[in-house]
Amino acid sequence: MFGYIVPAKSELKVREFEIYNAYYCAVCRAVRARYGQLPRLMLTFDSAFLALLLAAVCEGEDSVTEFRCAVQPLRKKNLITNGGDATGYAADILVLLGYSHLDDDRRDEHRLRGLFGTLLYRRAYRKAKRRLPGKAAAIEARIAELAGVEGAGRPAIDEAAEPFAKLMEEIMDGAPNGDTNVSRVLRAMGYNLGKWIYLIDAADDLETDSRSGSFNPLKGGDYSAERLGFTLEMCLAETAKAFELLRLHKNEAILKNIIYVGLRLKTDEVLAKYGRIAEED
Amino acid sequence: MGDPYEILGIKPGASEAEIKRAYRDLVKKYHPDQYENNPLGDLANEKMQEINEAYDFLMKGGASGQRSGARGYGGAAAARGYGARKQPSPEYNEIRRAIDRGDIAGAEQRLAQMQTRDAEWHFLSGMIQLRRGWYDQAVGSIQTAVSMDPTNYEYQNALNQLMGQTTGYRQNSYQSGYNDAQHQLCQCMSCYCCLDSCCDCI
Repeated sequence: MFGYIVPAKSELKVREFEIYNAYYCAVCRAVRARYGQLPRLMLTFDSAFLALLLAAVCEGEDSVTEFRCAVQPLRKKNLITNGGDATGYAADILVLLGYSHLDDDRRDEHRLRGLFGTLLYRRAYRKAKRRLPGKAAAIEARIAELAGVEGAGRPAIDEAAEPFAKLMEEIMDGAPNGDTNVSRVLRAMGYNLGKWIYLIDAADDLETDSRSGSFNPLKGGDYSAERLGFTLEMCLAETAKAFELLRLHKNEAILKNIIYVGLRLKTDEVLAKYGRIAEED
Repeated sequence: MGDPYEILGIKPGASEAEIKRAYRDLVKKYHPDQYENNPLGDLANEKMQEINEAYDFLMKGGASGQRSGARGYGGAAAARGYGARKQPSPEYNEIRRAIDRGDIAGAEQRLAQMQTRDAEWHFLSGMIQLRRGWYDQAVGSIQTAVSMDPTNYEYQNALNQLMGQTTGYRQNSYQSGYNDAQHQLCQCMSCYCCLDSCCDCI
Protein backbone atom coordinates (compact mmCIF):
# COMPACT_ATOMS: atom_id res chain seq x y z
CA MET A 1 0.00 0.00 0.00
CA PHE A 2 1.19 3.55 0.43
CA GLY A 3 2.38 4.04 3.96
CA TYR A 4 -0.11 6.71 5.01
CA ILE A 5 -1.58 4.77 7.91
CA VAL A 6 0.93 5.63 10.60
CA PRO A 7 0.77 6.11 14.35
CA ALA A 8 1.67 9.37 16.07
CA LYS A 9 4.81 7.96 17.61
CA SER A 10 5.31 10.68 20.16
CA GLU A 11 1.90 9.83 21.62
CA LEU A 12 2.56 6.14 22.14
CA LYS A 13 3.86 4.59 25.29
CA VAL A 14 7.19 2.86 24.84
CA ARG A 15 5.54 -0.50 25.39
CA GLU A 16 2.89 0.24 22.77
CA PHE A 17 5.50 1.36 20.29
CA GLU A 18 7.38 -1.87 20.84
CA ILE A 19 4.26 -3.92 20.20
CA TYR A 20 3.64 -1.91 17.05
CA ASN A 21 7.16 -2.64 15.85
CA ALA A 22 6.81 -6.27 16.84
CA TYR A 23 3.80 -6.56 14.52
CA TYR A 24 5.72 -4.84 11.76
CA CYS A 25 8.55 -7.33 12.19
CA ALA A 26 6.11 -10.24 12.32
CA VAL A 27 4.56 -9.27 8.98
CA CYS A 28 8.05 -8.86 7.52
CA ARG A 29 9.01 -12.31 8.79
CA ALA A 30 5.80 -13.83 7.42
CA VAL A 31 6.56 -12.34 3.99
CA ARG A 32 10.02 -13.89 4.06
CA ALA A 33 8.75 -17.26 5.19
CA ARG A 34 6.03 -17.40 2.55
CA TYR A 35 7.46 -15.47 -0.37
CA GLY A 36 11.22 -15.11 0.09
CA GLN A 37 13.41 -12.07 0.54
CA LEU A 38 12.38 -9.89 -2.36
CA PRO A 39 8.79 -8.91 -1.56
CA ARG A 40 9.94 -7.66 1.83
CA LEU A 41 11.02 -4.50 0.03
CA MET A 42 7.38 -3.60 -0.46
CA LEU A 43 6.59 -3.61 3.24
CA THR A 44 4.94 -0.46 4.57
CA PHE A 45 3.38 0.62 7.84
CA ASP A 46 -0.10 -0.02 6.45
CA SER A 47 0.56 -3.75 6.67
CA ALA A 48 1.37 -3.42 10.35
CA PHE A 49 -1.94 -1.62 10.88
CA LEU A 50 -3.87 -4.36 9.10
CA ALA A 51 -2.19 -7.05 11.21
CA LEU A 52 -2.75 -5.09 14.44
CA LEU A 53 -6.43 -4.60 13.69
CA LEU A 54 -7.20 -8.14 12.60
CA ALA A 55 -5.28 -9.59 15.54
CA ALA A 56 -7.20 -7.27 17.89
CA VAL A 57 -10.58 -8.76 17.01
CA CYS A 58 -9.30 -12.25 17.84
CA GLU A 59 -9.23 -13.52 21.39
CA GLY A 60 -6.02 -14.39 23.19
CA GLU A 61 -2.99 -12.46 24.38
CA ASP A 62 0.02 -11.67 22.22
CA SER A 63 3.19 -13.54 22.88
CA VAL A 64 6.34 -11.64 22.14
CA THR A 65 9.83 -13.06 21.64
CA GLU A 66 13.15 -11.40 21.02
CA PHE A 67 15.09 -11.98 17.83
CA ARG A 68 17.92 -10.50 15.84
CA CYS A 69 17.08 -8.97 12.50
CA ALA A 70 19.53 -9.21 9.59
CA VAL A 71 18.97 -5.52 8.83
CA GLN A 72 20.07 -4.40 12.29
CA PRO A 73 21.95 -7.41 13.64
CA LEU A 74 23.42 -5.65 16.65
CA ARG A 75 20.09 -4.85 18.16
CA LYS A 76 17.59 -7.25 19.58
CA LYS A 77 14.05 -6.76 18.36
CA ASN A 78 10.67 -8.01 19.38
CA LEU A 79 8.45 -10.26 17.35
CA ILE A 80 4.80 -11.22 17.75
CA THR A 81 4.78 -14.99 17.49
CA ASN A 82 1.12 -15.86 17.76
CA GLY A 83 -0.13 -13.32 15.25
CA GLY A 84 -0.49 -16.35 12.94
CA ASP A 85 -3.52 -15.59 10.84
CA ALA A 86 -3.43 -11.83 11.06
CA THR A 87 0.25 -11.33 10.22
CA GLY A 88 0.18 -14.05 7.57
CA TYR A 89 -2.92 -12.51 5.99
CA ALA A 90 -1.27 -9.07 6.00
CA ALA A 91 1.75 -10.64 4.27
CA ASP A 92 -0.43 -12.24 1.57
CA ILE A 93 -2.30 -9.00 0.96
CA LEU A 94 0.96 -7.07 0.76
CA VAL A 95 2.17 -9.29 -2.07
CA LEU A 96 -1.18 -9.18 -3.90
CA LEU A 97 -1.40 -5.40 -3.71
CA GLY A 98 2.26 -4.76 -4.37
CA TYR A 99 2.11 -6.79 -7.55
CA SER A 100 -1.06 -5.09 -8.77
CA HIS A 101 0.59 -1.75 -8.14
CA LEU A 102 3.59 -2.73 -10.25
CA ASP A 103 1.34 -4.17 -12.93
CA ASP A 104 -0.45 -0.84 -13.01
CA ASP A 105 2.91 0.92 -13.40
CA ARG A 106 3.74 -1.33 -16.31
CA ARG A 107 0.58 -0.23 -18.11
CA ASP A 108 1.11 3.46 -17.73
CA GLU A 109 4.05 5.77 -17.44
CA HIS A 110 6.63 3.70 -15.58
CA ARG A 111 6.80 0.89 -18.13
CA LEU A 112 10.31 -0.24 -17.41
CA ARG A 113 10.04 -0.22 -13.64
CA GLY A 114 6.71 -2.01 -13.85
CA LEU A 115 8.04 -4.62 -16.26
CA PHE A 116 11.03 -5.47 -14.08
CA GLY A 117 8.91 -5.46 -10.99
CA THR A 118 6.25 -7.77 -12.35
CA LEU A 119 8.86 -10.19 -13.66
CA LEU A 120 10.61 -10.32 -10.31
CA TYR A 121 7.45 -10.65 -8.26
CA ARG A 122 5.50 -12.95 -10.53
CA ARG A 123 6.24 -16.12 -8.60
CA ALA A 124 5.36 -14.55 -5.26
CA TYR A 125 2.14 -13.21 -6.73
CA ARG A 126 1.08 -16.59 -8.08
CA LYS A 127 1.66 -18.10 -4.68
CA ALA A 128 -0.34 -15.39 -2.90
CA LYS A 129 -3.12 -15.83 -5.43
CA ARG A 130 -3.30 -19.52 -4.61
CA ARG A 131 -3.61 -18.68 -0.93
CA LEU A 132 -6.33 -16.04 -1.33
CA PRO A 133 -7.99 -16.64 -4.69
CA GLY A 134 -11.15 -14.68 -3.84
CA LYS A 135 -9.28 -11.60 -2.64
CA ALA A 136 -6.89 -11.76 -5.59
CA ALA A 137 -9.79 -11.78 -8.06
CA ALA A 138 -11.50 -8.90 -6.26
CA ILE A 139 -8.30 -6.83 -6.24
CA GLU A 140 -7.73 -7.44 -9.95
CA ALA A 141 -11.32 -6.44 -10.75
CA ARG A 142 -11.12 -3.23 -8.71
CA ILE A 143 -7.77 -2.26 -10.20
CA ALA A 144 -9.29 -2.69 -13.67
CA GLU A 145 -12.22 -0.47 -12.59
CA LEU A 146 -9.76 2.10 -11.33
CA ALA A 147 -8.05 2.22 -14.71
CA GLY A 148 -11.49 2.58 -16.33
CA VAL A 149 -12.49 5.52 -14.13
CA GLU A 150 -9.18 7.26 -14.66
CA GLY A 151 -9.47 6.84 -18.41
CA ALA A 152 -12.89 8.48 -18.48
CA GLY A 153 -12.10 12.18 -18.58
CA ARG A 154 -12.59 14.08 -15.34
CA PRO A 155 -14.48 12.03 -12.76
CA ALA A 156 -15.70 13.65 -9.54
CA ILE A 157 -13.71 12.63 -6.46
CA ASP A 158 -16.40 10.32 -5.09
CA GLU A 159 -16.51 8.49 -8.37
CA ALA A 160 -12.74 8.35 -8.81
CA ALA A 161 -12.16 7.03 -5.30
CA GLU A 162 -14.88 4.37 -5.45
CA PRO A 163 -12.88 1.44 -6.91
CA PHE A 164 -10.04 1.87 -4.45
CA ALA A 165 -12.46 2.27 -1.55
CA LYS A 166 -14.14 -0.99 -2.59
CA LEU A 167 -10.74 -2.63 -2.93
CA MET A 168 -9.83 -1.71 0.63
CA GLU A 169 -13.26 -2.85 1.79
CA GLU A 170 -12.38 -6.30 0.47
CA ILE A 171 -8.88 -6.31 1.97
CA MET A 172 -9.89 -5.27 5.46
CA ASP A 173 -12.51 -8.00 5.62
CA GLY A 174 -10.00 -10.62 6.69
CA ALA A 175 -10.99 -11.58 10.22
CA PRO A 176 -10.47 -15.31 10.58
CA ASN A 177 -13.47 -16.06 12.80
CA GLY A 178 -16.09 -15.29 10.15
CA ASP A 179 -18.46 -13.28 12.36
CA THR A 180 -20.72 -11.40 9.93
CA ASN A 181 -21.10 -8.34 12.15
CA VAL A 182 -17.34 -8.03 12.61
CA SER A 183 -16.99 -8.41 8.89
CA ARG A 184 -19.54 -5.63 8.25
CA VAL A 185 -17.68 -3.28 10.56
CA LEU A 186 -14.32 -4.10 9.00
CA ARG A 187 -15.74 -3.54 5.53
CA ALA A 188 -17.12 -0.14 6.52
CA MET A 189 -13.73 0.78 7.95
CA GLY A 190 -12.05 -0.45 4.78
CA TYR A 191 -14.33 1.54 2.50
CA ASN A 192 -13.73 4.79 4.33
CA LEU A 193 -10.02 4.24 4.87
CA GLY A 194 -9.64 3.30 1.21
CA LYS A 195 -11.33 6.48 0.14
CA TRP A 196 -9.15 8.46 2.50
CA ILE A 197 -5.94 6.83 1.21
CA TYR A 198 -6.89 7.40 -2.40
CA LEU A 199 -7.67 11.08 -1.85
CA ILE A 200 -4.76 11.82 0.48
CA ASP A 201 -2.46 10.23 -2.08
CA ALA A 202 -4.02 12.35 -4.83
CA ALA A 203 -3.62 15.53 -2.75
CA ASP A 204 -0.06 14.62 -1.83
CA ASP A 205 0.91 13.92 -5.45
CA LEU A 206 -0.96 16.79 -7.12
CA GLU A 207 2.18 18.83 -7.71
CA THR A 208 4.19 16.03 -9.32
CA ASP A 209 1.19 14.81 -11.31
CA SER A 210 0.59 18.31 -12.65
CA ARG A 211 4.18 18.47 -13.82
CA SER A 212 4.25 15.02 -15.37
CA GLY A 213 0.75 15.20 -16.80
CA SER A 214 -0.43 12.06 -15.00
CA PHE A 215 -4.03 11.53 -14.00
CA ASN A 216 -5.10 13.16 -10.77
CA PRO A 217 -8.77 13.62 -9.77
CA LEU A 218 -7.95 16.89 -7.99
CA LYS A 219 -6.63 18.63 -11.10
CA GLY A 220 -8.65 21.50 -12.46
CA GLY A 221 -9.10 23.43 -9.23
CA ASP A 222 -12.67 22.31 -8.50
CA TYR A 223 -11.80 21.27 -4.98
CA SER A 224 -10.71 23.81 -2.42
CA ALA A 225 -8.70 22.54 0.55
CA GLU A 226 -11.78 23.08 2.67
CA ARG A 227 -14.03 21.05 0.40
CA LEU A 228 -11.55 18.20 0.11
CA GLY A 229 -10.92 18.41 3.83
CA PHE A 230 -14.58 17.76 4.55
CA THR A 231 -14.58 14.48 2.65
CA LEU A 232 -11.28 13.41 4.17
CA GLU A 233 -12.56 14.10 7.66
CA MET A 234 -15.86 12.37 6.97
CA CYS A 235 -13.90 9.30 5.94
CA LEU A 236 -11.94 9.38 9.18
CA ALA A 237 -15.02 10.08 11.30
CA GLU A 238 -16.87 7.15 9.72
CA THR A 239 -13.83 4.90 10.08
CA ALA A 240 -13.72 5.82 13.76
CA LYS A 241 -17.44 5.21 14.24
CA ALA A 242 -17.18 1.77 12.70
CA PHE A 243 -14.05 1.03 14.71
CA GLU A 244 -15.82 1.89 17.96
CA LEU A 245 -18.29 -0.93 17.27
CA LEU A 246 -15.59 -3.59 17.31
CA ARG A 247 -14.97 -5.68 20.36
CA LEU A 248 -11.21 -5.52 20.77
CA HIS A 249 -9.19 -8.02 22.73
CA LYS A 250 -5.87 -6.21 22.45
CA ASN A 251 -3.95 -3.39 20.74
CA GLU A 252 -6.70 -0.88 21.53
CA ALA A 253 -4.45 2.04 22.50
CA ILE A 254 -2.24 1.70 19.42
CA LEU A 255 -5.20 1.45 17.05
CA LYS A 256 -6.87 4.46 18.65
CA ASN A 257 -3.62 6.36 18.34
CA ILE A 258 -3.45 5.59 14.62
CA ILE A 259 -7.11 6.31 13.87
CA TYR A 260 -7.63 9.40 16.01
CA VAL A 261 -4.20 11.01 16.01
CA GLY A 262 -1.93 9.54 13.33
CA LEU A 263 -4.45 9.83 10.50
CA ARG A 264 -5.63 13.26 11.61
CA LEU A 265 -2.09 14.66 11.70
CA LYS A 266 -1.38 13.19 8.27
CA THR A 267 -4.58 14.79 6.95
CA ASP A 268 -3.66 18.20 8.37
CA GLU A 269 -0.14 17.93 6.98
CA VAL A 270 -1.18 16.97 3.45
CA LEU A 271 -4.09 19.44 3.38
CA ALA A 272 -1.81 22.33 4.34
CA LYS A 273 0.48 21.45 1.45
CA TYR A 274 -2.49 20.93 -0.88
CA GLY A 275 -3.95 24.31 0.08
CA ARG A 276 -0.74 26.06 -0.95
CA ILE A 277 -0.61 24.26 -4.31
CA ALA A 278 -4.32 24.71 -5.01
CA GLU A 279 -3.95 28.45 -4.42
CA GLU A 280 -1.08 28.75 -6.86
CA ASP A 281 -3.01 26.80 -9.47
CA MET B 1 -25.32 -10.02 29.34
CA GLY B 2 -21.53 -9.83 29.64
CA ASP B 3 -19.63 -8.33 32.55
CA PRO B 4 -21.34 -4.97 33.15
CA TYR B 5 -18.10 -3.38 34.38
CA GLU B 6 -16.30 -4.46 31.24
CA ILE B 7 -19.11 -3.15 29.06
CA LEU B 8 -18.93 0.25 30.72
CA GLY B 9 -15.14 0.13 30.67
CA ILE B 10 -14.69 0.63 34.41
CA LYS B 11 -13.05 -1.27 37.25
CA PRO B 12 -15.19 -3.54 39.44
CA GLY B 13 -16.22 -1.62 42.52
CA ALA B 14 -16.29 1.74 40.77
CA SER B 15 -18.24 4.44 42.58
CA GLU B 16 -21.67 5.55 41.49
CA ALA B 17 -20.23 8.78 40.14
CA GLU B 18 -17.70 6.87 38.06
CA ILE B 19 -20.39 4.59 36.68
CA LYS B 20 -22.51 7.57 35.75
CA ARG B 21 -19.63 9.35 34.07
CA ALA B 22 -18.66 6.25 32.07
CA TYR B 23 -22.28 5.74 31.10
CA ARG B 24 -22.70 9.32 29.97
CA ASP B 25 -19.56 9.16 27.81
CA LEU B 26 -20.65 5.92 26.18
CA VAL B 27 -24.14 7.21 25.48
CA LYS B 28 -22.61 10.20 23.77
CA LYS B 29 -20.48 7.93 21.64
CA TYR B 30 -23.12 5.41 20.57
CA HIS B 31 -26.19 7.64 20.53
CA PRO B 32 -28.52 6.96 17.59
CA ASP B 33 -27.89 10.54 16.43
CA GLN B 34 -24.26 9.65 15.85
CA TYR B 35 -25.18 6.71 13.65
CA GLU B 36 -28.03 8.23 11.72
CA ASN B 37 -27.61 7.47 8.02
CA ASN B 38 -24.93 5.00 8.94
CA PRO B 39 -25.18 1.48 7.50
CA LEU B 40 -23.98 0.16 10.87
CA GLY B 41 -26.78 1.88 12.79
CA ASP B 42 -28.28 -1.44 13.93
CA LEU B 43 -24.99 -2.49 15.54
CA ALA B 44 -24.75 0.83 17.35
CA ASN B 45 -28.27 0.23 18.69
CA GLU B 46 -27.29 -3.19 19.98
CA LYS B 47 -24.34 -1.58 21.69
CA MET B 48 -26.59 1.06 23.26
CA GLN B 49 -28.90 -1.63 24.56
CA GLU B 50 -26.00 -3.50 26.08
CA ILE B 51 -24.74 -0.33 27.74
CA ASN B 52 -28.20 0.51 29.08
CA GLU B 53 -28.59 -2.97 30.51
CA ALA B 54 -25.18 -2.88 32.14
CA TYR B 55 -25.92 0.53 33.63
CA ASP B 56 -29.32 -0.55 34.94
CA PHE B 57 -27.80 -3.66 36.45
CA LEU B 58 -25.05 -1.76 38.26
CA MET B 59 -27.29 1.03 39.47
CA LYS B 60 -29.89 -1.42 40.75
CA GLY B 61 -27.35 -3.48 42.65
CA GLY B 62 -25.14 -0.51 43.51
CA ALA B 63 -24.25 0.68 47.02
CA SER B 64 -27.14 3.07 47.11
CA GLY B 65 -29.51 0.22 46.39
CA GLN B 66 -31.81 2.42 44.43
CA ARG B 67 -32.41 2.50 40.80
CA SER B 68 -31.58 5.64 39.02
CA GLY B 69 -34.64 5.99 36.89
CA ALA B 70 -33.72 9.11 35.02
CA ARG B 71 -31.96 7.44 32.18
CA GLY B 72 -33.90 8.91 29.38
CA TYR B 73 -31.90 7.51 26.50
CA GLY B 74 -33.97 5.23 24.34
CA GLY B 75 -31.86 2.19 23.71
CA ALA B 76 -34.20 0.63 21.23
CA ALA B 77 -33.25 3.14 18.61
CA ALA B 78 -35.64 5.97 18.51
CA ALA B 79 -36.08 4.74 14.97
CA ARG B 80 -36.87 8.05 13.42
CA GLY B 81 -35.99 7.55 9.84
CA TYR B 82 -37.49 9.71 7.15
CA GLY B 83 -40.88 8.15 7.41
CA ALA B 84 -43.65 9.00 5.03
CA ARG B 85 -44.51 12.69 5.04
CA LYS B 86 -47.14 14.77 3.43
CA GLN B 87 -45.74 14.53 -0.04
CA PRO B 88 -47.31 15.68 -3.23
CA SER B 89 -46.04 12.50 -4.83
CA PRO B 90 -46.57 8.99 -3.46
CA GLU B 91 -43.39 8.05 -5.32
CA TYR B 92 -41.30 10.08 -2.87
CA ASN B 93 -42.93 8.31 0.05
CA GLU B 94 -41.94 4.99 -1.46
CA ILE B 95 -38.35 6.18 -1.85
CA ARG B 96 -38.19 7.41 1.74
CA ARG B 97 -39.47 4.07 2.95
CA ALA B 98 -36.89 2.25 0.84
CA ILE B 99 -34.08 4.36 2.39
CA ASP B 100 -35.43 3.59 5.86
CA ARG B 101 -35.39 -0.11 5.09
CA GLY B 102 -31.80 0.19 3.94
CA ASP B 103 -32.73 -0.67 0.37
CA ILE B 104 -30.39 1.91 -1.11
CA ALA B 105 -30.16 0.37 -4.56
CA GLY B 106 -33.96 0.24 -4.82
CA ALA B 107 -34.33 3.84 -3.70
CA GLU B 108 -31.71 4.96 -6.16
CA GLN B 109 -33.39 3.17 -9.02
CA ARG B 110 -36.79 4.72 -8.28
CA LEU B 111 -35.24 8.14 -7.97
CA ALA B 112 -33.47 7.83 -11.30
CA GLN B 113 -36.78 7.05 -13.01
CA MET B 114 -38.47 10.22 -11.81
CA GLN B 115 -39.11 13.02 -14.24
CA THR B 116 -39.08 16.01 -11.92
CA ARG B 117 -35.91 17.37 -10.40
CA ASP B 118 -37.28 19.42 -7.52
CA ALA B 119 -35.87 20.14 -4.06
CA GLU B 120 -37.14 16.86 -2.63
CA TRP B 121 -35.49 14.94 -5.44
CA HIS B 122 -32.12 16.53 -4.70
CA PHE B 123 -32.57 16.02 -0.98
CA LEU B 124 -33.26 12.31 -1.35
CA SER B 125 -30.37 11.96 -3.80
CA GLY B 126 -28.17 13.51 -1.14
CA MET B 127 -29.40 11.07 1.50
CA ILE B 128 -28.67 8.12 -0.77
CA GLN B 129 -25.20 9.45 -1.61
CA LEU B 130 -24.51 9.90 2.08
CA ARG B 131 -25.44 6.29 2.76
CA ARG B 132 -23.09 5.12 0.06
CA GLY B 133 -20.22 7.17 1.41
CA TRP B 134 -20.23 9.75 -1.39
CA TYR B 135 -19.84 12.62 1.03
CA ASP B 136 -18.77 15.32 -1.42
CA GLN B 137 -21.74 14.77 -3.70
CA ALA B 138 -24.11 14.44 -0.74
CA VAL B 139 -23.18 17.94 0.43
CA GLY B 140 -23.74 19.28 -3.09
CA SER B 141 -27.17 17.65 -3.46
CA ILE B 142 -28.45 18.75 -0.07
CA GLN B 143 -27.16 22.27 -0.67
CA THR B 144 -29.09 22.32 -3.94
CA ALA B 145 -32.22 21.17 -2.11
CA VAL B 146 -31.79 23.92 0.48
CA SER B 147 -31.28 26.62 -2.13
CA MET B 148 -34.34 25.46 -4.09
CA ASP B 149 -36.51 25.41 -0.98
CA PRO B 150 -34.88 27.61 1.68
CA THR B 151 -37.86 27.44 4.03
CA ASN B 152 -37.75 23.66 4.39
CA TYR B 153 -36.61 22.95 7.89
CA GLU B 154 -35.81 19.30 7.23
CA TYR B 155 -33.33 20.05 4.43
CA GLN B 156 -31.59 22.78 6.37
CA ASN B 157 -31.41 20.56 9.40
CA ALA B 158 -29.93 17.68 7.43
CA LEU B 159 -27.29 19.98 5.97
CA ASN B 160 -26.32 21.34 9.37
CA GLN B 161 -26.14 17.86 10.78
CA LEU B 162 -23.96 16.65 7.95
CA MET B 163 -21.54 19.54 8.28
CA GLY B 164 -21.28 18.80 11.99
CA GLN B 165 -20.67 15.06 11.53
CA THR B 166 -16.92 15.32 11.95
CA THR B 167 -16.84 17.36 15.15
CA GLY B 168 -17.04 14.25 17.33
CA TYR B 169 -14.00 12.80 15.64
CA ARG B 170 -12.08 16.08 15.90
CA GLN B 171 -12.86 16.42 19.60
CA ASN B 172 -11.78 12.89 20.30
CA SER B 173 -8.65 13.44 18.27
CA TYR B 174 -7.67 16.60 20.13
CA GLN B 175 -8.38 15.01 23.47
CA SER B 176 -6.16 12.07 22.76
CA GLY B 177 -3.37 14.00 21.11
CA TYR B 178 -1.39 17.17 21.02
CA ASN B 179 -2.41 20.14 19.00
CA ASP B 180 -0.25 21.15 16.06
CA ALA B 181 2.19 23.49 17.80
CA GLN B 182 2.97 20.82 20.32
CA HIS B 183 3.20 18.29 17.56
CA GLN B 184 6.10 20.11 15.93
CA LEU B 185 7.99 20.03 19.19
CA CYS B 186 7.21 16.35 19.43
CA GLN B 187 8.56 15.76 15.97
CA CYS B 188 11.83 17.35 17.02
CA MET B 189 11.82 15.16 20.07
CA SER B 190 11.03 11.99 18.18
CA CYS B 191 13.74 12.90 15.70
CA TYR B 192 16.07 13.13 18.65
CA CYS B 193 14.80 9.77 19.91
CA CYS B 194 15.43 8.19 16.51
CA LEU B 195 18.98 9.52 16.41
CA ASP B 196 19.41 8.32 19.92
CA SER B 197 18.29 4.83 19.05
CA CYS B 198 20.61 4.79 16.04
CA CYS B 199 23.54 5.52 18.30
CA ASP B 200 22.31 2.80 20.51
CA CYS B 201 22.55 0.21 17.80
CA ILE B 202 26.03 1.26 16.67
